[in-house]
Amino acid sequence: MIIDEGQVSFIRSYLMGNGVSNQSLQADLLDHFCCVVEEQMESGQSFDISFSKAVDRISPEGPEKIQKDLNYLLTIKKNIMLRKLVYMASYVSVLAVLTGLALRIPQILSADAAMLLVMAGMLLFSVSTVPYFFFDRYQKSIRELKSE
Amino acid sequence: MYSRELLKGILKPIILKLLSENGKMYGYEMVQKVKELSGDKILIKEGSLYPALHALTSEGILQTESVSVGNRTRKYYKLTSSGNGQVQLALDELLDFAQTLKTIFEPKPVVS
Repeated sequence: MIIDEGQVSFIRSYLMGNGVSNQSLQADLLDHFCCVVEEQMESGQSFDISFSKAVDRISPEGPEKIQKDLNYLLTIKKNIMLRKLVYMASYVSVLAVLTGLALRIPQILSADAAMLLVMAGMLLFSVSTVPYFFFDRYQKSIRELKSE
Repeated sequence: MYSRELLKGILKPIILKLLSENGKMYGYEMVQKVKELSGDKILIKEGSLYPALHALTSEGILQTESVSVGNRTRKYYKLTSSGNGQVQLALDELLDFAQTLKTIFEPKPVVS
């Protein structure tokens, strides 16, 4: 049994309305929902009951949870790498500033060299840590806004 | 039926094994096949299956082929040549793991 176009559209609208914006995942879930609904309808159930059973079976926590898990899996490695880089850059920049100051006080470094080291540290800090900090804050605020 | 925690680590080898034996499969077909092969003991959750399939696709282990079925698109997953090379490694690791678990959990004869 193949369900009709109206029923397929209904399931597609349900997925789109419940946070499945990834086209590829949407195609997977649409086909999966259709298969489960067809399986239920073959045993004599109505479309409404079959669809309700499909929702309970496939996405009891909502289809958006599947997309959320997918996004997490696809971005986790990249996010870990980005964090590593930012933390390393932060460490190097703080080290440069402190080294510049520490070596200037006993006059091991000339004023120009110490200033150059401090400036390099500040520059690195401002192009790595600062933008990452604000980007992270921005993402958190968007998540909080959406969960309200 | 086994718990979700137990199944987490074996989903990838299951997918690779299924695809190496069946060529190409779509999501619903995989869920049904595993259910049938395991005598209803392993029920793959769709919420775990699709993120895993997409992650394996983005890693270049799987590729997809879309076919029109009635009024919708069905995506078949199949192994890439790189994925084919990983099947045996994943299965060997899993079988070795199962053997190790057996060694740990199997009751040992009491020596008197």
